[in-house]
Amino acid sequence: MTVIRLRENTGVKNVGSFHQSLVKAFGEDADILIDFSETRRLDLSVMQVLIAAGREARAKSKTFRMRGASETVRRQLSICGLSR
Amino acid sequence: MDDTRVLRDVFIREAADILASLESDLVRLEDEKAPELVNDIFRYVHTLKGSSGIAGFKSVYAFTHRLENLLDMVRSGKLAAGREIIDLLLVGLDWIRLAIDSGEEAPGLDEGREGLLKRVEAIIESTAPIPAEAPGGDAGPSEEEMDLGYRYFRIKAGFREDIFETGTDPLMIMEDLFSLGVVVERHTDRKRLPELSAMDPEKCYLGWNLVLKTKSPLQKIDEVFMFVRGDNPISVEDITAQYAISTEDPEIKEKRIGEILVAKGILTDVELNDALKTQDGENTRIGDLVVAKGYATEREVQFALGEQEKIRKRIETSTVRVDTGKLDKLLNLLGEIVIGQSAIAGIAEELDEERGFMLKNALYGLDRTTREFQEQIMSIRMIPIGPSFEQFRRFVRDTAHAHGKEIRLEIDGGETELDKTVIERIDDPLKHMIRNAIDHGIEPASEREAAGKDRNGTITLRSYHQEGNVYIDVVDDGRGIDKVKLRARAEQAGLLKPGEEASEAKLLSFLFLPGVSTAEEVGDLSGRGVGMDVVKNNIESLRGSVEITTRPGKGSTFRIKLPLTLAIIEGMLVRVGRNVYIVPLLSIVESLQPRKEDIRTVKEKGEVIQVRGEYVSLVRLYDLFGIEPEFRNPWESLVVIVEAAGSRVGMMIDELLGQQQIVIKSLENHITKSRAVSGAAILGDGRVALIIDIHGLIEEISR
Amino acid sequence: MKHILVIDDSPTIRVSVEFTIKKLGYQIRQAENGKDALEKIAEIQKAGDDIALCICDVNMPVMDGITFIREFRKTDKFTPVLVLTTESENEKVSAGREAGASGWIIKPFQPAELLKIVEKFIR
Repeated sequence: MTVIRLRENTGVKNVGSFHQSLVKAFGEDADILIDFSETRRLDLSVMQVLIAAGREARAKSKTFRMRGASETVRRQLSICGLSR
Repeated sequence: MDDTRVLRDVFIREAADILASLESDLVRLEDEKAPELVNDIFRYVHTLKGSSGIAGFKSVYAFTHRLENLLDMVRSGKLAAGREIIDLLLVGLDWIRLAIDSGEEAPGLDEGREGLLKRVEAIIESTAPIPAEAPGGDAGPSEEEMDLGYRYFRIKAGFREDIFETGTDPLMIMEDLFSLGVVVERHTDRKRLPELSAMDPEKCYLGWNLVLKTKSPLQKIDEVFMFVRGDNPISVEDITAQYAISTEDPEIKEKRIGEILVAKGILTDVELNDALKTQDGENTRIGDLVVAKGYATEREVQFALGEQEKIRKRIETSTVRVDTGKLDKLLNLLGEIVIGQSAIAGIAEELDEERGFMLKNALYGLDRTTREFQEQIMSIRMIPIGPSFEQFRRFVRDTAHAHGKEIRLEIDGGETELDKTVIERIDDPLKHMIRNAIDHGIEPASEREAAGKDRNGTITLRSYHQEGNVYIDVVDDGRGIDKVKLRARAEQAGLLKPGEEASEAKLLSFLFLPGVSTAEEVGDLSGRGVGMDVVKNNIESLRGSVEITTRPGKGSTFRIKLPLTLAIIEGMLVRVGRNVYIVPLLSIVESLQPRKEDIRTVKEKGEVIQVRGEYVSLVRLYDLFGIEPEFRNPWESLVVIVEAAGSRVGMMIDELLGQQQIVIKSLENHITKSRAVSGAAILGDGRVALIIDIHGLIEEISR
Repeated sequence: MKHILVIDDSPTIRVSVEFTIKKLGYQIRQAENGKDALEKIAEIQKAGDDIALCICDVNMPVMDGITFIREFRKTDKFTPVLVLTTESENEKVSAGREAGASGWIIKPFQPAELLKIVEKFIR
């Protein structure tokens, strides 16, 4: 399993590297887990990458999970239609 | 030392610096009159105002605020920086210094300020009338709003792809929005989001379409979007009324499938209504019901679903920029192909039966392809009108403010597609109509309030397809058009005799004539000599028409009807002698065979025919085009009554051949000087037919 | 270390903004005008530090706020910039937006309001 841990401040300034690591993870065999436990809040750029990753996972029948979302992050996910 | 003390100290030092600079600049201004000095002075006072407010010097803040107004007038050239103003400002500086030094507690400070302010007022009043202050102001939600309880707003929020590059996080905006109430319907628009590996994570792809249930007034929602509204497609619509009735979105979606089935002739209206009636809540789908009732087969429903998907896809797919000139060229080339086809068809006639049959069969297939090809090219030219509408938001806001009015622009049907050329050319007429609505339609807030209406006016831009045409409505909720005044104007202009009967439609049609307007005086914004007559001409040159409806006290609707595209027209084929002409169907009023006694010759007007008590000029097309007709007597021939720019003429023709969709070929390479011809089309048999430009024809004969 | 830059020609405004937001725990830097700000930003970046937010007045001598935002955006696309305006400067808000600002604050402001807006934009 590939675990990607988001930094405290993940946003548009560093979304590029987050995106890259996800693309790479999808190229590998292992399931993917996003860990939000250090994240205070996300911004829309990160959210978009998560949504695209969700789609990709469905298309490739891969397991893509998220954990450790705070109240704020969960609320943000739900605004973008990523409720869980 | 606490923060407040520090802040006051910082301010006192800053103020001392500013006052010193101000003083020397003022003195220099007296000699030099340099505009950059005025700017500096303004900026100093402006800064002083801001700082004093922050540091808690309320009296200084209020005073500098007034001085700033005065200086703004000097800066903008409304006031000259004369001796009197400079004196006043210098004394004002002394007052500010005293106020600051004494911590705003020196005796006689208030009296001193009042005296100075009176002098400021006197100077301002002596030069320019003070614009009437809009009454009221934003004192929170009105009682009405408080009492309304929950309201429902449909909010569509899209964002520019590069919005992140302004440091803006749309998610933050959406969080603010969600915190205002309960989102009862939410659709996150992900259509534009590319695949993970293909996306640029620094671009914005997401949008929202949601319904918010809230007790906040519209203004609160507008505030959330305030900073991004200008250049992002965002619309907020109060749908409380609708929402109460038509609760669920799925129903609307279902209906669309039903509508597709009807449009494709699979279902009749009656069958659809029947199916909708028996639909028990959200669990059964209309498609299933229709199949169960035997109105359509499973396959037909699948087909309709496919169509729906196609429609959706067309909106989804992003685009490649293509020069429309290239499309025109393609369309023209296609015309050549059709001619080639006709030539081959001619050859097929001359072949022996078997081979002729084979060739014709092959041509039949080719013909279908060409037709589809043409449709595809046409669809490329179609773009949604939304962006064109959106650009008016700023315009409405600015123009309304210039009039001291508060007007909301609502947009509906932005996804409606029109030919790109039409969209480009409809901008100006639309702008004029909107300006007209702001200027003359929507009343000032006080008048609206007195009439029991919302203080804020609303202008709605709406677009929709109907029966092969596109409609654009410009709706205002203003005072409506005053028919009494309009009548008076028309009489004044000699268009009506006093006491002469005139229907509402006729009265309103005068609005489109030059020199008729109901405004008391020409508004400085919609005046300037451009009238509704120009609007109408512009629209007619797009082969469209305008229609007005108005209700006193409720508002007016200007409805523009346009062809879907400029490259194809619905034409009536008519024959004169051996030639075929095409008359745009949109301009045909009726066709008739006149009686001999209906034909007269009237002085100045020439030959006319009487149609239901009205005289209409008669145009002998064969004369105009110099050809040999079958009939020379009007009572033997047919007369087609056409209308453009508010006037009617009757065209003499030999025969109506029927209507057809016509692809217009530009006439640039052909030579025709006649303004009565707007283009040419190639008929199925390869013949070229000229398209009659009714507009040009009427102008040509009226000379 | 994360920095917030306060750019205003009025020291009173600069100080009051600093006082209001210092509890957020960011390093606060003051600049007197756009040019000064660009220099300070270069220093911060040279030290390998990050800028979390700029708060910037519009009317300033030497280099005004709108020019500053345009210059700043040439090298930094994503850092939020808040514009400080007075209520009489509505047109400045849109000018700021066009230049690439992310939001605005109206002077004089209530400390609590300022804090709320700033908190929203730092991330």
